[in-house]
Amino acid sequence: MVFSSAVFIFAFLPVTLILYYVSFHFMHERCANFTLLVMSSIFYLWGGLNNFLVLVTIILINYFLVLLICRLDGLGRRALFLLVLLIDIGNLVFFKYINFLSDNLLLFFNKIGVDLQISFPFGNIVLPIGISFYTFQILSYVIDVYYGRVDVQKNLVRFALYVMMFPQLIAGPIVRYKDINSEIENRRISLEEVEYGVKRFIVGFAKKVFLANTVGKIADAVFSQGGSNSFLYAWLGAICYTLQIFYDFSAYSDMAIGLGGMMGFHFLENFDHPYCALSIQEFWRRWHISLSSWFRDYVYIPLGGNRKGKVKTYLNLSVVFLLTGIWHGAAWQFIFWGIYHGFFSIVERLGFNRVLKKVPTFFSHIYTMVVVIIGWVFFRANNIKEALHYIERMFSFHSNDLQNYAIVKEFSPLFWLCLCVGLILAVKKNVKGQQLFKNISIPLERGAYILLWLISVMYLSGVSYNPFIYFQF
Amino acid sequence: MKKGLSKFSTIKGRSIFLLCFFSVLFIPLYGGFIDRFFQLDGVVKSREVVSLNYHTLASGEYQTYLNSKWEDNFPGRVFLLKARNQILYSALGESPNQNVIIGKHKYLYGSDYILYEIQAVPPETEEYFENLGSSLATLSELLAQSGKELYVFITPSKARYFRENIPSTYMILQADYGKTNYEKLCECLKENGINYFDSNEVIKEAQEHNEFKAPLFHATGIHWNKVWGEYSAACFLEYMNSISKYDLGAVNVSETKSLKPIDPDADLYSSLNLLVPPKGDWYAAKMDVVKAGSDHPNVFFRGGSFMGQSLSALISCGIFGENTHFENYYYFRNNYKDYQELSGFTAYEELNLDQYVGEADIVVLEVNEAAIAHMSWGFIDYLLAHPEYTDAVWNIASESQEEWGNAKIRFEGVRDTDLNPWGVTAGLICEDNQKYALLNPFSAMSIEFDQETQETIRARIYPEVAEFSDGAVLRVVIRDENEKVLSEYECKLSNESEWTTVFSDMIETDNRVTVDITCLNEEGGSDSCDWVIVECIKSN
Repeated sequence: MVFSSAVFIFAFLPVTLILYYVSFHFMHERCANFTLLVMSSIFYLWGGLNNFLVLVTIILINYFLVLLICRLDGLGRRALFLLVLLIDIGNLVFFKYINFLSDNLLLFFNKIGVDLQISFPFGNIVLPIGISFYTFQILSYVIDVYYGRVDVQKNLVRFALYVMMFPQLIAGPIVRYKDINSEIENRRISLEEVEYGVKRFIVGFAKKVFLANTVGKIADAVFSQGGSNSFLYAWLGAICYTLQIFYDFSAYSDMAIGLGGMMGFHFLENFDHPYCALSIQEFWRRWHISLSSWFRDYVYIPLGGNRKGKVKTYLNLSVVFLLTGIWHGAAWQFIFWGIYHGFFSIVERLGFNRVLKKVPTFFSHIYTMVVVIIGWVFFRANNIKEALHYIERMFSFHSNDLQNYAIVKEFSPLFWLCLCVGLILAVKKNVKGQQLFKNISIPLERGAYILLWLISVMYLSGVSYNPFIYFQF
Repeated sequence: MKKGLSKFSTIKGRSIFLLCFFSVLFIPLYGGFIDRFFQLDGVVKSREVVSLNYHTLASGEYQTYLNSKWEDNFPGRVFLLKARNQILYSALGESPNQNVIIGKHKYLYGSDYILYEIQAVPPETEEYFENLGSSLATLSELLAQSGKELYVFITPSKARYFRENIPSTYMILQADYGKTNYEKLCECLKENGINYFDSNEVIKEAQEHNEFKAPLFHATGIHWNKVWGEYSAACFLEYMNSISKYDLGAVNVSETKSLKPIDPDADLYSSLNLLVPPKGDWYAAKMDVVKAGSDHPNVFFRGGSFMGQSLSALISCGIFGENTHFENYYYFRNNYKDYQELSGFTAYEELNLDQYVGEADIVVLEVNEAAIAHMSWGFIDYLLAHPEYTDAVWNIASESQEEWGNAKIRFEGVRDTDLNPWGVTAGLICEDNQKYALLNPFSAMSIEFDQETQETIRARIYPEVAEFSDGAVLRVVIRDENEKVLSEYECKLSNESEWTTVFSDMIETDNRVTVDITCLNEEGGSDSCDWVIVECIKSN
């Protein structure tokens, strides 16, 4: 179920909020948790019973095995810990990467002239929605409990709720158990926080419905034609995709944070003006913060971080970026995209950082954005060959055939408006989602939010194009 | 006290804000009531129903189905959709319907009209028009053989008359491929001697004389105004009178002001599904018979929606006898009293063409400038592939029955021709001391075998010209002595000059068998050099 869909807005959300508030105010908090868990289950069931069964199985396995880990010590404890990690990562690898691995294995042996004469019996495995997100949430819980950073959760409903809470279940942010544990057990809901949550949800909803979807149409039109025959269109398509993926994903995070706020939960921010970054390193401190900090805390630092010399640091960085690429998808272009970002991060650490600090901000911003935009081309293309062809079009300045109906028909006044607004909001540092209408009186501000909400809902009612990019991860 | 009041006011403000937010979430509770006052225009596509079972639930297919069903039908959607469209249209000048383009001065266009006008879509090739011309000429000839008349009626494109209002963005797509489809069609019809009427010519003349106040096209519609449509129909009647064997009489068209748009003057506006109705000066048309004709021939119209504002008036005025108005994928009969829909634009087999075309004295093909690339939606080719509907082939069957080995053979559709060395379209020919049957497109042969014969019939394109042919199709119908169809199929003959078996005595029957073979043109292809020779040999 997508947040920006009629079934979510006009059926699931109102029913969920009513049941939740009623159970929270008139019954016990445990009842509210149970209600939220049931509604989250329905939310996830909407994607298919099979996906739901996979999730429930993995929750039960983790719940019982982690309880068991806490009762053991010594080698048994460590062995069980490794077994849980193996199960969680194995589950992710099986559903997300097994086809990719088997295909490439066969291809590799084929290339070296070995005919394996086997076919893997995996068939078309359907990727459970949000598997990468909930696996990482579970892993953080398992690791933190094992290392004694948090107490084990003995209540199955609370543990299941931590994993399955619908606002962040399928597209993040990746919430750590330690960040939300106390709120699962004890939280308060005030009008002020609900208002904040509602405002944040409205901003996310409007960003998704207007900005992401509108620029996304042009991105789709250009990418479907391999960048078309015009370098202008190729750049326009790449910029539109750059905006689309940001507004799409950050809108989802806004809505998740807003929904959490409405129900008394505080999720951490996932984006902090990534397109204002002046280097790739800074970009990764601002983009998908919950993922980059997860890799920092559970991969980079355990590997030694930057404490074991320059070579080891660069190696650790390479590992992290490779994993970041792999996390996004089972395809070579994602792996390449991770390596590509890792390469620029290392180059900057090698000394380019100092150059960037000396040149006017404008140039470092341009450098960062060009690297990011080209990176998104790899991310968006269906394969590396297609991406390289697209990038070639971006730099074929002699070819400029603007006569392309598929693209021109998408040039609407709304598109140009959304492109301008999208660009300004993306690169303007002090505009935060929740402060969209600042410097006006509070009643006026509230009125503006309601108007934006109404217009966004109206706009949604006639939208046929409504993809969510990060669902596939 | 003041602090307390301020706190109260904050709580009040917050509560009102949240109330407003939740009242939007709960639209489905009261939206049904609001929707009663509005309705949506447009094509309704029904979704395939997904049944609830373990498989659909496990895969999420059923949930997706529920999702779509809710999105299409939730209470309040109609109002929300209309309000959304109104905001897009009024505030941003954007079309909420992807098939409708908003031009300058809020002139609305169908996208195809603009694309053909500015040649963003290249015009059809010379070969296309050669084939179209040849097909029309053949059809005209076939119809003429049974005394029917064929006319082509060309209707105008809004984009050509209001080119200056095409949005600037679209002008990026403008290209110059030389002649447009419209110009090429006119030339093609002229070259092939087809009777055609170009409404653009009479419109131009009438506009010069300020004949009518009504605009040719309203800003809000894709179709021509009825005043102009009926005026063109009246002129078309005059044209037919000048060359037809029938006396059809004459009509006059006048206009009167109307308070509301007359359908389809605001059809594009309607398809935008806005809240506010369109404004403008609207006109109604009135067609009167000024001279009654002495003949009332039967008529068959085939074309698009522009016929609805033009030729239909002629039928309504009683100019014709039995009439069929076959528009897009639906048709009217008996002066618009009967209405039927086909399952698709090309589902001709659902139509009783044997009766409707068979009874017609006049066949009119209407084509709009923007629809030339798919003129008549394959109807011309369909009629050529089924010449029996034109009554031509089957009415001029040769009387003579000849012996051909052990079989008796009869040819149909035999005509003189100077396009092959034998001078006829069908008959027995002798080549290298061997007797063959010759068939050209739109001719047929009927072979009668007795029960004791074991024969195989095979055919090919005449080898000397095979490379110049694009192939042919033989439609084979096998009947028993009671005329019951035992088998029916088609054989495609390629131009590779190889023999293709058309029939072998595989049918198990103790009685006499008749094999009817009709030679047809390859669909959309040329009939040039499609000389099919057929031989009958003993089966092994």
